[in-house]
Formats: sequence, C-alpha cells, structure tokens
Amino acid sequence: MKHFCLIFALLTLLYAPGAYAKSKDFPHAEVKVSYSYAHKRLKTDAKAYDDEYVMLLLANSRYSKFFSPHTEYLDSLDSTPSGRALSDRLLHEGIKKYIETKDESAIPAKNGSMYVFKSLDDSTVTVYDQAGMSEFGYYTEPLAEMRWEIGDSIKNVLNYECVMAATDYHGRHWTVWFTTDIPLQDGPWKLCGLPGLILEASDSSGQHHFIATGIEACDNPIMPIYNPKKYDRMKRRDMLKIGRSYLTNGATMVNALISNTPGGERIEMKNNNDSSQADLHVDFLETDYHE
Amino acid sequence: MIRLTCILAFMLVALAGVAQTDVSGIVVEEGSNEPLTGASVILRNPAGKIRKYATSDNNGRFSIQAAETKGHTLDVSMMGFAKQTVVLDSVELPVTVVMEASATMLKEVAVKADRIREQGDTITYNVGSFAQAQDRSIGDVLKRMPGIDVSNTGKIQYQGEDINKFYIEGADLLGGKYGIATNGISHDDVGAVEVMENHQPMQVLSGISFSDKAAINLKLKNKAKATWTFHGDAGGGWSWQPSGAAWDAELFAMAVMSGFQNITTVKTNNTGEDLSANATDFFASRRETGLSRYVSVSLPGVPSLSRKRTLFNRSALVSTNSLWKLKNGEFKAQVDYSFNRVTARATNTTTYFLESGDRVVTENRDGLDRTHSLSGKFIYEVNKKTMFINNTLSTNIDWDNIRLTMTGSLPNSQSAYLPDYYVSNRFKMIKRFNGKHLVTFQSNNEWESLPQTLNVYTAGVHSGEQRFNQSLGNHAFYTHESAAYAFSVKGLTISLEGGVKGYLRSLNSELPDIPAEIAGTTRNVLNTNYFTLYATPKFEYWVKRVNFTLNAPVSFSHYTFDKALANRSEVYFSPSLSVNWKPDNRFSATLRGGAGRTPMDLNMIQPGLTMTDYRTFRQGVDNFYNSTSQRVSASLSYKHTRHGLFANAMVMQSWSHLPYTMVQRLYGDYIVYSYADAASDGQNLMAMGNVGKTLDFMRGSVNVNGSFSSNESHLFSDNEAVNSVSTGWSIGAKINGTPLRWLSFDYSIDFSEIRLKMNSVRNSWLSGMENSLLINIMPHAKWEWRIIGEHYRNELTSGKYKNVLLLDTKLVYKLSKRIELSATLNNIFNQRSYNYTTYSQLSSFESQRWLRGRELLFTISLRK
Repeated sequence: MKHFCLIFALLTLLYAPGAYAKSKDFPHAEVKVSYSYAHKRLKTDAKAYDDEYVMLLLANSRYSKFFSPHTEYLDSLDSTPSGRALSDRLLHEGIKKYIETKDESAIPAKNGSMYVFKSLDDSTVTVYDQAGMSEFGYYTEPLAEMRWEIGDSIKNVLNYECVMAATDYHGRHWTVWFTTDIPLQDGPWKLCGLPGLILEASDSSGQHHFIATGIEACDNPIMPIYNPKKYDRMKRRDMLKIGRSYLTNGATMVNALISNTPGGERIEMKNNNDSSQADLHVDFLETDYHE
Repeated sequence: MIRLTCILAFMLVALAGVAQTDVSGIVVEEGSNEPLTGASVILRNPAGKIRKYATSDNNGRFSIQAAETKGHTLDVSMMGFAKQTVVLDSVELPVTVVMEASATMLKEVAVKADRIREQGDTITYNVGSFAQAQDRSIGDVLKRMPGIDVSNTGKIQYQGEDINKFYIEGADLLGGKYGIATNGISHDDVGAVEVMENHQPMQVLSGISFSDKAAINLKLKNKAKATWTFHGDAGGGWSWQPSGAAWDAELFAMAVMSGFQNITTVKTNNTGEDLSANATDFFASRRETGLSRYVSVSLPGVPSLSRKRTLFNRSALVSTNSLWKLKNGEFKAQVDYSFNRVTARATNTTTYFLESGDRVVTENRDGLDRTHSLSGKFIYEVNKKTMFINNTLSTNIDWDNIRLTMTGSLPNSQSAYLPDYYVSNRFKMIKRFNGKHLVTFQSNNEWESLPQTLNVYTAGVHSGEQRFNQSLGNHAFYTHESAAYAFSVKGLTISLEGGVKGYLRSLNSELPDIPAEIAGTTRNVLNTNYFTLYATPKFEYWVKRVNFTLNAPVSFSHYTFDKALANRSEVYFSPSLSVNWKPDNRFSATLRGGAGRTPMDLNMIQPGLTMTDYRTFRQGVDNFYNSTSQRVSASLSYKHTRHGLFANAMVMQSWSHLPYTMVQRLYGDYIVYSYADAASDGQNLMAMGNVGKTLDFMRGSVNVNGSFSSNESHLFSDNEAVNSVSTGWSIGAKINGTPLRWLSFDYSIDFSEIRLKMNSVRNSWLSGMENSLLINIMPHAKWEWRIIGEHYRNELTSGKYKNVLLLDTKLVYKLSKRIELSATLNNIFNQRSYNYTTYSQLSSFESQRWLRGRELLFTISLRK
C-alpha cells in the first residue's frame, strides 16, 4: 500500500505549472499564529492514521491565510525551475532511501494541501485543496455564518484567558476556545466569527483538533497561493466527494493506473484492500457531502 | 490609559423592560472620526460574562439586541487600537466609541513552526529565528543552532562529525576555507542553513558508497542573489597596552550569480584577532611529503585565557575566491595572502630561600614572530552522475621568522627562519557505467621543501659567550598513481583499488658547534626513500537499515636509505570495519574498529644531533621500526527536529605498541631527546557527548557538552622509566535567547579538571573554570548597548586559585539600514597583567604575563 502513497507524493511534487505571482502590494499580517493540527485521516488503504503537523494563520483585521508552511515551502519549490530541480533531487533521494530502508518518512511528503483565505471585506472564504489523486480545486463561499453558542467555561491557552463557544458546521459539532484579548474574528481552518481569536478547536468525534502553539506580532506580507493555475474552480461538496472516493477506492484506481503500463504488459498487483477493515468512520473536516 | 468620549447623537424612545433594547452605535477613529470596520463589540453582564457580540460594519456601525442592559458594559476592541469599555448605564444610545491608536500588546509565544525543518536527509535551520541582535556574521548564528558546533578555530561539526562540504547556494566556492564565508557573510543575507546528512559530494558515487558525513549549504535571501553585496567596517582608536593607535577594518564583497561566484575579503587589525585562522583549509588532507620541523622556537603564551585577551598582533588578510561554471564543469581559483606579526613577553622569578640569604633568579622572555603566508589553489571539476573529474593544483609558500630573547640564568637570543615551499597536483577521475560499475584513476604528486635555520647566541654564567648555528635542508617528493574498479549488486558494493607510491626525501643538517656538555655527531646527510605497491579491497553492504564497510588494505614496501641504514622490504596489512545502523531518521549508531601494522615516521631516522631550541637537542634512531595499533570506537546520534533536540555521544579506545621509547637526558642546562630500543605500550581513552535544544519561548537555544580523556605513555628520563597517565574531564554549557523584546543574552560556562600521574605518584586535580556573559540591551530601535563580562578561575596548585575578571562594553547606533556607528571599550578596568606566585617549601615561583589593556575603538560599518 505504501507504494500508492509514494506515487501520490511523486505526482504531487512533479506537477509544476509555470507562472507564480509577482510581487505587488500584498496585505500585511499583524499576527502570526501557529497551530498544531492533530487529526486522524484515511490513506488510500482506507485505514485511519494519526497525523500531527504545524499550520500557520497569518492575519490582520480584514484578511487572513491559514496554511501549512511546510506544504507552502514544497509548493514554492515547484513554482521555479531551480526549485523543481531541488524538489526532484529531494524526491529521488527520498525514494532511494525509502527503497533501501522502507522508512516512509524519507519521502518528502506534504502536510496536506489545504490553504484557507478569509476576506472580511468581501465576506468570503476561499479554500484551495487537493481533490483526489491528482486534481486540485478551489471554491469561494460566503464567510460562514456560524451560529456560536458562547458558554461559561474558561481556560488558559498560551497564557491567554479563553472562553468556550460551540457551533454545528457542515456536519460536525465544534467546541472552540477564543480570547477577547486578541480582537480578530478569526481562527484555524474556516472557523471564525467570534469576537476574538480562536486558539483551540476540537470536533466532537475527536478526529480533528487544533491548538495554538505560538503567537507573534508580525508584518509579513500575506502572499497568495503558488501556482494558482493548477487549481480548478470546483464545488465544495464535489471536491470532498472526489477526495473521499479516492481514499476509499484509491487503491483500485492506482492499481488500474499502474498495472496498465504504456508498454501493454500487465503488472499483477496484490489488492489487500479489505473493506471490512476500513476505518470509514474517519472523515474530513466537513462531512456534509454525504447528504 | 483609556480615554473615553461619548457623544449623544439622537434619542430613541424605549421603555426598559417592555421591549428589547437596541444597543447600537458607531466606532470611529480618534482624530479623523473615520468609521472603523471590523471592530469587535462585546456586551458583558455585570459578572463580566459575554452575553452578545457584534462586529462594526463598513460604516462603523453595530447593533445588538439585548433583553437587559442594566449594569452591562460594552467592550470595543480592534487590532491596533486600545480597548474601550463603555458602561451602558452611564451613556445614552446609540453611542459613538472613539478608538485611540495603540499597539495591541501580544503576549508573544514564539511561533516555532519553521525554526528547524526536516526534509528527507536535509535539515533546514531558519537563520532569522536563531540570530540574536548582537550577531553579525553567519558564523555567529551557526553556533546557536542545536546539532551544529563551531570550534574556536572556525571548524564546523554536525552531530559530532566534521562536515565534508560547505556550499553557498549549492556551489562549493571555498572548499575547506569556509571560514572566509562564516566570518564574512552577514547573517542578514542568509535565509536558511541547510544540513545535508549522509552527504556524498561525488554524485557518481551516490547510491554506491555510503557517507556518514554531513554538508552545509547556505541559502541566501533573494536580495543577496544575482548581485554584488558589500559590507565594510572601519574602526580606529587607542589602546592602553600595547600603548598606541588601534585599528580593526574589514571589507567583504560577495557575488552569487548563476554562472559565477566570488568572495573577496580584506581585513586588518591589531586588536587581538589572528586572521590567518580565517583562511585555514579544514578539508586539507595530510601532506604526504611528511616533512617535520626539527627547529621549534615558540613565543611564551598565557595559559587558560582567551587568545583575544593576550595576543599582541598586527594582522592582515587578503583572500579572493572565484568560481566559474563552464559548460561541463566548474573552475575555481582561490588566492590568499596573510600576514601576522605577534609579540609576546613573559617574566618568571624564582626565589630560593637559603640559609645564606635568598637567591633570586629572574628570567625574562621577549619574542617577535613574523609570518607571511601565500597560497593559491586552482581547481577544475566535473561532477556528474556518470563522471567525476577533479584536478587540483595548489601551492603554498610560508615564511616564518621568529626572534626570542631571554635574560636570566641562561641568557640567550634565538632567531629562527622557517620558510616552507609546497606544490601539489591531485587528479582524480571516476567514471560510472551501466549504473553499477565504477572505474577510478588517481594521480597525486607533491613536492615540499622545508629548510630550517636556527641561530642561538648564549652568554651563560658557566659557559661564557657561545654561538650555535643549526642549518637544515629537508626536501621530499611524493607520487601516487592508482586505479580502482567497483561494482554494486543488490546492496553490496565491492571495490578494489591498486596502485603504486613513490617517495624520495633528503635531509641534510649541520650544526658546527655544540655545547661542551653534549657529545655526538651533529651532521646528518640522509635519504629516506620508498616504493610501495598496494591493493585495497573494500566491501560495502546494505541490509535493512545497516551499512557494513570493510577495508582491507595490503601493501608491500621497499625502503632504501642510501647506506645510512640497511635497505629493507616490508608487508603491511591494516583491516578496518565500520557498521552504521540507522533505524529511522532520528537515530543513528556507528561502531568502528581497526588494527594494523604501520611503518615508523621516517623523520625519526636521524643519527646526528639537531638543535630544537636554545636548550633542547634531538637525536633520532638508526634503525627501522614498525609499530602496531588497535582501536575501537562507538558513536550515537539522535535528533528530533520538531522539538529542536539534537544529541550525540562518542567513545573511543586505542592501543599502540612501539618497539622504541623516548629518552630524555639532562646535560647541565641542556636537554637531549633520543630513542631507546625498548618496547613501550600506550593507550588512549576518549569520550564525549553533546546535547542541544532550541528554547522557543525566548527564541534561543541551549547546549550542554562533556568530555573525558585518559592518555598513557612512557618515556625514560635520565635512565628512569616514567609511566605517565594524564586524565582530564570537562563539562560546559551555553545558553542564549531574547527573553524580552529589548534584551538578548549569551552565557557560557566551562569547567575542566586535569590530573597527571607519574609512576603511581598522583598529582592533585587542577581545575579551570571560565564564565562569560554578554547582555545586549535594545532600548530603542536605533540603539544597542552591550556589556560583556568574562571570568576565569584557574587553579594554580592544589587549592590555590587565580581569578581574572574582564569587562567590555559596546554602544551601537544605527543611523540607517546601511550605516551603523559604534564605540567599543574593551577591558574597562585596564587589567594589564596575569601574575601569580606559587610557593613550595624551599622556593617561590612568580610568573608574570601581559594582557591586552584597555582599548577604545570607534567603528563605522557600511553595507550595500
């Protein structure tokens, strides 16, 4: 099964359209917040894996970007010829090492592909992400009107006093902790709209959890996404459906792709996908696409 | 201070308790009265609980429907403005809330997302997140990165192992002279430092030959790429000791372009920095010409104090390094010249308490050492996946001129002239075909001449006036041609290297007069030549996550000595094995072992006496010996990049068996070293460990290290066998950080103890401790004030300590991004000497050494 992840990484990395944004007056952030995003996710064998990595929120009062700096670094490499050469080198070294040692961590893998841009001026949120094996999509929605219930509980996150709030959003029940000491109506992922920054968020199933690990004043420009051309406009639920079907049937899809070589010879692939053992209860941040 | 202004706009009629209250209003900016969009408005009950909230719209307006407002407050806040609290009972609705601009104070917790990143075998350190305000060069910042260690000489280690390459934007411009870059490149021009683990610099060997070394690559910021960057400092002032003008200036230029790279630097100072260390080649392989210095005159030193405090110098360095990328490869030219003039002085006074009255013997030493060094290196290299070619031509010319005058019991003056001329050409070609087969050709040729002259004039009480002139000619030529074939199959790489080596050396020494106390011949006319045929089979095997490497060199050598000794032929076999286990990306363990038989150092063959310095003579052996040795070592390393944790440990034990033993004999005031035909066994144990960790809460890092060593050796001193064991251990720690926005610091402590045991007589442990603290205060964006304190506590004899405290300060004013002015005051208390006295029952010994005195320097720094 690991081979599929390998090919997945390969396709992700080698995909390299040309243009990238030239510098202009980008909005500047006022704060930089790092979150640790711990979650369960399915791989193409439909088994659940625990994953945890760093996501960053760069935000000012009007505009924000939520992304994985590691993914952005790899995406930035793919946007220039010399970067592509480096990422090819890293990938080849990684694959070689993986073959020698079977250590999957040797292969350069992204921390997801999600970028979330929120604009208060336009009242919109734009999400870029991967849909399935090799497709990339984006959609723009009105800023979510999350109906928050503010609770009485209080706790400290990073030394900030946070108040509890809860909402139901796109299929999941979220409990979050926000602080009025940082007057940004923002938070991790698409979560926003409270009178203060959300520093911790968890969904009721325990599959997704964000917690702030660092916060700094910052005036970095909020750069747009690299390689915008590789993303197609899609419907949100369609993106999620494609992604889900890739994960639950991905093995079969990849098998079909690999076993039919251009030369016409067939490679026998062992299919150890046993759907009875699949962890199908593990799902994306949004689950309303099943409806 | 919260200032609040409420203005009544117009009134809505509403009766409390009958209907919901519309808590509405407008948020405006102070002064301009412009409406503010996006302010958070929170309605809190008297207990402070959030009841409702809203956001001001594009016109700055907000509206909250509330069932009750009695005792409630309205909090209005926005990034960049001070929070306003409105007590609803005291205002009429709608309210106008005026927001006063004010930085929103964040309780910052460092975002550690990207201080260290790991990608396959590459670890990327973000330079900005490790640099402290007091840092200038990238070398200053490298020292703070856990896992990376920069020694005092500038040599870089990663996880306890020397690095094998230093790249700038992927190009190897400087080779082993990377000190030019680490001391010169401003950290502000570097975006990231990449460490490439298990780096195989020759692409042609990748996947075939394992490397346990790491390489470093500097990733420059865009502003430093595809252009020339310059920076320069010019400082001048006054020094109290040596009394006179002081200067310290530097000009650094760098171009990093796609087809061309250049680094040129010019430096000069007389403020205690030895610049020749900047141009040291850390990758230089040992010179196979193997000539050694017979004459050795050295200036007196100051024990246990940092060199910058005690070096009385005038130094200059010019270095220019260029790299051109050609169609198939690259061409590099490196030219360096350095000059160093050092003076040193020392006084020892020994008082003997005699019944007939005290007898005082004073000894003064006063020396001057002038060194010029000129080196050029020209390299052509092709580094491709199927082919590697490297031709390196290097030349090195050093002139070293030392004068040392002594007064006291054996008054004398010595002058030594020690030039060194060296030329070498190394050619290497590796070709890979069918992916798995490698063929290598190598041809190395080296020539060196090391003439040595020592003139001594003594005016001893007993011996009267005497002159000695030691002159010595010492030349060698070495040639080495080899071919190798390697192939790799299923993780196993087998290679066989075979070749010939030829060596011609001549020694010619003359010492017309020797002191009357010493007898012996003083003339050496000698050739030591050899011819060697060798074969080195090598096996490398990969299984799971383990790499085995076995080396089994066998050689046959024929030595000819031109009648001075009988010619002879020898066979040598020195196998070695290393096993590396890397179960995952975090942990790595290596075991190494080896044994072998090696020929003696041919420099030891010397039937006649030579004079080393005014009171030391040396005589070699007139026989040929072989020695045997064994060694085992183990090393471990661990890293967890997400937690910024790096650790490594190493332990090594070696044994040597020599068929000869050094003999020390005293003849009056003179010492003669020679060798006796007696076997001597020695052993050496060494262990060290190092742990580094990032401290994200204050954007800093901490490092703790420890070491232990024990060394056993033998010699005969005046016919008495002396077995000496020296044991030492040390522990040290470094910590740095920026705990407050306006404060950064560096602190280090080192403690060490040594003990010498001779023939089971144990001397007591002697300790040394060094503390150093730097505090940098940034009261304002344009100003910085630094205070540096160093404290030394050296144990002279058991229980008796010498303490030295030295304080420096520096004031920096940043006129603009490009211009910086600073004033430095070193050694504020003007401590000029390092004196101590120790007592024994019958005598006292007083030692006096000199320190650099107070020094005031004004510096202007410019950068493009």
